[in-house]
Amino acid sequence: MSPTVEGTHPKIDSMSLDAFAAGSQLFATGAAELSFHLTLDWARSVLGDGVRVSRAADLPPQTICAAICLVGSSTALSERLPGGNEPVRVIRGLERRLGQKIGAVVALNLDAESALLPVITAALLGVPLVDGDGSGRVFPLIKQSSYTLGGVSATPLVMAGPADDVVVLDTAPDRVEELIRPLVLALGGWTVTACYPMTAEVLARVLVPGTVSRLMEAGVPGAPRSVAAPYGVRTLCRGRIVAVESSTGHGMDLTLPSLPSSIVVEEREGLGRLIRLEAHNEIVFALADGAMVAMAPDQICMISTVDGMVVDVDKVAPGLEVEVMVVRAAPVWHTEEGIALGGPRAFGVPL
Amino acid sequence: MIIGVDLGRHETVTVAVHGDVLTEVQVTAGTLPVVTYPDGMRRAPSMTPRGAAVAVDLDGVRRAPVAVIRVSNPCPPGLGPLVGWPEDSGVGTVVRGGHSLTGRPITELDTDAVARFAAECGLTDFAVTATGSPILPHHELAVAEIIADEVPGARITLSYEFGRAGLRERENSAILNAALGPHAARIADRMARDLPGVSVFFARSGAGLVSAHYFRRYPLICYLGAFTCALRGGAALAGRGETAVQERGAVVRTGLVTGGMPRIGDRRDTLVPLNVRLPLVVSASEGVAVGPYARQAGPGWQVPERAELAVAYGAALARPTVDVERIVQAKGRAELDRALDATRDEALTRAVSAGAAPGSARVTGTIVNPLSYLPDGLFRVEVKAEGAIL
Amino acid sequence: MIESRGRRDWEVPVTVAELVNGGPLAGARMWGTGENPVRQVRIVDDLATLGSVPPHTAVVLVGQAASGGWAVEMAMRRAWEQAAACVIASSAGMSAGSGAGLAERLGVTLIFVDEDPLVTAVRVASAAARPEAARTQLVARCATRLAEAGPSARRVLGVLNSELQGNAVALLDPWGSHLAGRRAQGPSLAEVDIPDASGGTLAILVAHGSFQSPGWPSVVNAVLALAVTPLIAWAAIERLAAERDVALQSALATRLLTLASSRTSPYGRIGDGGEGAVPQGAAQGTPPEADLEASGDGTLARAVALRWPVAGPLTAYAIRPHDADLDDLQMIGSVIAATVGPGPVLRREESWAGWSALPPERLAIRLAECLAALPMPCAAGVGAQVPDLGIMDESLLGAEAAAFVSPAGVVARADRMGPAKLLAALPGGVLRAPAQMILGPLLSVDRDGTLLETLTAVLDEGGASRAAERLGVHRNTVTTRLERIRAAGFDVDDPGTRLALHLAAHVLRSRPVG
Repeated sequence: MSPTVEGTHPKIDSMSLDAFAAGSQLFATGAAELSFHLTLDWARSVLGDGVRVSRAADLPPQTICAAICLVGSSTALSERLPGGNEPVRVIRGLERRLGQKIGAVVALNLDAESALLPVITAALLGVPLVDGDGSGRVFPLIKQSSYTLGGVSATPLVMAGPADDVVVLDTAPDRVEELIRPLVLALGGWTVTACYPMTAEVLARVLVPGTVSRLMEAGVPGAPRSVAAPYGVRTLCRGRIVAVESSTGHGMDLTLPSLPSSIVVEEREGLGRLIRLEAHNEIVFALADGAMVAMAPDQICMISTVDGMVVDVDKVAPGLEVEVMVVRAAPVWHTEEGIALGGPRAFGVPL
Repeated sequence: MIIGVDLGRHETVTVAVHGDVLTEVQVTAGTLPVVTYPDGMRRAPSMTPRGAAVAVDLDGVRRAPVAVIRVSNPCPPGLGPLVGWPEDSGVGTVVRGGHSLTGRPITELDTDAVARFAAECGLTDFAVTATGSPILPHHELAVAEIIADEVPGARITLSYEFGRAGLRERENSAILNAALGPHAARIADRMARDLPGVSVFFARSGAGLVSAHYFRRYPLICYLGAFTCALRGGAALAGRGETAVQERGAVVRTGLVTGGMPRIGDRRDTLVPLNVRLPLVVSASEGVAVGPYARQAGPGWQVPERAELAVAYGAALARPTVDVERIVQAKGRAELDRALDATRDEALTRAVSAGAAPGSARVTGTIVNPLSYLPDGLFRVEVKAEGAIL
Repeated sequence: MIESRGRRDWEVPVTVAELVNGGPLAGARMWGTGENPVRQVRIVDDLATLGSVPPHTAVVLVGQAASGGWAVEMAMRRAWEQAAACVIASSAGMSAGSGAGLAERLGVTLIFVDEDPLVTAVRVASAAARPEAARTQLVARCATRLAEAGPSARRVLGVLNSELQGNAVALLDPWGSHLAGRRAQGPSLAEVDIPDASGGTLAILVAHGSFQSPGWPSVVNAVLALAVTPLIAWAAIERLAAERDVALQSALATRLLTLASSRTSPYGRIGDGGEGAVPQGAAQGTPPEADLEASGDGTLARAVALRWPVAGPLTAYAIRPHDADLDDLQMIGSVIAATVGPGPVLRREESWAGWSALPPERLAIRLAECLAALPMPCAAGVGAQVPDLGIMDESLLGAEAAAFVSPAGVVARADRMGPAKLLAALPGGVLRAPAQMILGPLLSVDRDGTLLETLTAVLDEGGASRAAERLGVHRNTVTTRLERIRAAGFDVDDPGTRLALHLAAHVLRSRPVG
């Protein structure tokens, strides 16, 4: 039935999985080493002949697609291992609720574990993975997606964790975060979550396209890191972290998964500026000598100069040498609605 | 005076460090070491050594087959016990049980399954790992009791002793620890024989020492003890706090030294993924070369005098050190403080058990991190403690 | 006491540093120089409004604009763009962090206050609007606290240093030695003389520190002037107490000499001594740390309060009664003090002694007057003039030796007698035992007496070459022997021991009498 021609677009198989996984880590923030490798081993063990990657426009227009992501604590995932049927349980739960078959899965974002779970789900169900995602980067909240910006509702939303539960949330999209936070712990600390059910026709309009195949290219050894940043990337500074402070003054009334903190980097070269990175789950904005030089929805991340890995906000320590990079977000995030949903105000920063 | 011993893969090198003075010594099994003094004279030291610090790498030694018991819910085969291990590493099983992150039992422990496996596996070195044991080790302790009943003389490693979250890596650590046990016991026996009347310590990976008794139980802690000491001793001999040190022995390995201590981290290039922090292996173009073949180092590498003594010297510089990592649940500051106190107490107790003189043990660092993406009240707590040799 | 020119200075705008150091922001933490004048205050709770702030504004952050380190940093950046005077925020929940570094990088002063920033804003506004009133307030507060402090140099300096924060106020003697207070370097901001009873300068009160505003030096000057009266009273009280008590003087002088010789070996200085000394401790190349007051017990301050000469050149003297029992003659001290002039009068073993700033000729004349005034036969000796207190012992020994050989009623001058005459007069029998003890280590290795002979020759002749000539040996022989003498522990170049060695060598070389 598929109109695509075999071989003209990539397939995630045991050969290309490693490249895709490596690509998903290039700008991943908040990725945890242990749970990432766990998810990767899980994907390897279920991949079989591989997962077909399809452009949304190449799917039959009425194919029902669902976005898949990890919701919860990666520490919990690495401690309480999956039983293995969580992806199937959420898809079946969503199908029961919709009364329709799910014909393809798509990523909510392509950040480490969240990039691999859709691959596992597609492999277990034998459906294609759509080449694209709902972000082009990663945001901490489910509602922060290009799907929302395109008018698609995150609900009905289905969660399944390592215990044998399935939870279906039938609620207004802006109630989702409040409801899932307490649920996650009861479900085992982490969940596979299926959300944003929509047709392939709608998906083709609202997704950030081509990001899966791009990460597969970017993760090939030797490929420049910038391949993973389709809309551009620049280096803000290279320097040494001189202070990590808890921060105040923004986001206290928000239910974000971690607490605000502030990281001060002293630039090694050039002007020797003091760069302050204000983080709330992720880096929300960057000041250089007090002047704003980068902010969400563009993604700001620190790359360790020792091993080239992204340094997690939760794990920074004074003394680390880092390169601070700014990945430009997809154009949809630079619209008025995009800035409202993913800009500094979405993180509680009054700017 | 402290004796430093490098149980290298070529020959054993022994040094004596007294104050700042480093001398090579000869050890004849069963007698006190004979020191070669700076005047060239060789004689028994005028004082009894305060202790001997032994550096050994365990990454190439013979491993015993291990019976692996995982207490958790069933999981996909690709995530099961002993995945990634060589064929003859042992046998494993998954039994129901374990605790959630909040310390609630997930299901009852399947004690019958444990007893059956223990009786039938035919092995005596056991590694036990339960879901949630960094929060609550009850099920691991219960499994240990059952094994002890079924297999008299069994040597049992419980994963919560390597208390970081991450079940697979913790389990691998427990398995490797159990597999190294018999060999470690032989090394400890030999050192006790060769150095009668001297307290023997072993160098840890990363920093510090543990007692021989501790080494027998937790040899994994000393997995790359000799590499660690090569880095530290090499930097110290060269008089540098920050440098790369290249060890040229059976294999060439290079590590970084920062502030005199090896830089450590999680390494994925080990036999299987572990959850113990090891000295990082890096590539560097210049620094200090140590080891028996240091003189063959390339340009850019400084060979210190007495490069072949670096490992033994590094061992003699170390002090008894332990770290304890736990996940604690605490509502409010007072509860967290109590949990921190309990963890600190445990660290101090372990420091003494690792050979620190009781009065000298002190906490040298406490790290508390809230676990993100979970409701408030769950914290990762890490406490380091160290002390002096008696 | 305040000049009219100074008064006019008081009306120039206050600077940020002035607000922190002596004004409404006292006690606040400040980063940056604070050199900008403050003309008005603006309370800012929205960073956007910072764009309309005029230059020389003190920006007080509240609400959202003060809600975190990042907000403060952004405010500092905009304050810099607007040439604002400073940024003030509450210290609550704030760590200076990179703000301190940014203050330095941008040259924008950052101030953290402990009180409600709105209260701070009101106080700064009033100081900015009426600078003269703010400065008058500081002076008035100082007057009150100085009155409470009373006549104590330590307490007076304590008040000055706590009120004039950011400045260092010290009390110096006329030669620049530090007596009390906080020492500092560089040009002074203000200086005030403390006069003695005769109208001379007893001490100088000096303030150092940044030139915080055009008005500041005259404010500091006014405050220092307030301290003159309590300090004069303090000096008078000290002098009265000491003059009543000879034992106290002796103890003080001994401590002073001990301190001086331990600090100034071999030719160091107490203070800066010598001709052309200016009252600027740091300007002479001697670090202020090296001076006496580092011992902290106020010895030097008290000596200055007693008007003792403590900086060179100085000359010692000794007066020896011929027949009397010293204990019965307390009044000798008073006569000496009255005739010789300012200076300590000490009890030594068999004599009275002291030192004076007078040159030896004039001191000898005064001593002759003194001998004439004393009711019993006494002899006097004048020592050689020395550059400072550190080697006063040498001068004292000479003076005592001279007094010893001099007949009653005669003033003998050690610097005129020459060593031969002086040494020949020494009572060998009495001094033999101590001399043997002093030179014991040398005698034990000196089998044939050549070392002692050489030592004596070198000290007599003042050099190895001439000693060789006198002994009829090669110069190298003398050098080799000197090496052996040094190896025995005797340094003929050490001025502190040279005289004692010289005396001991002579005593042992002379034949025992009778």
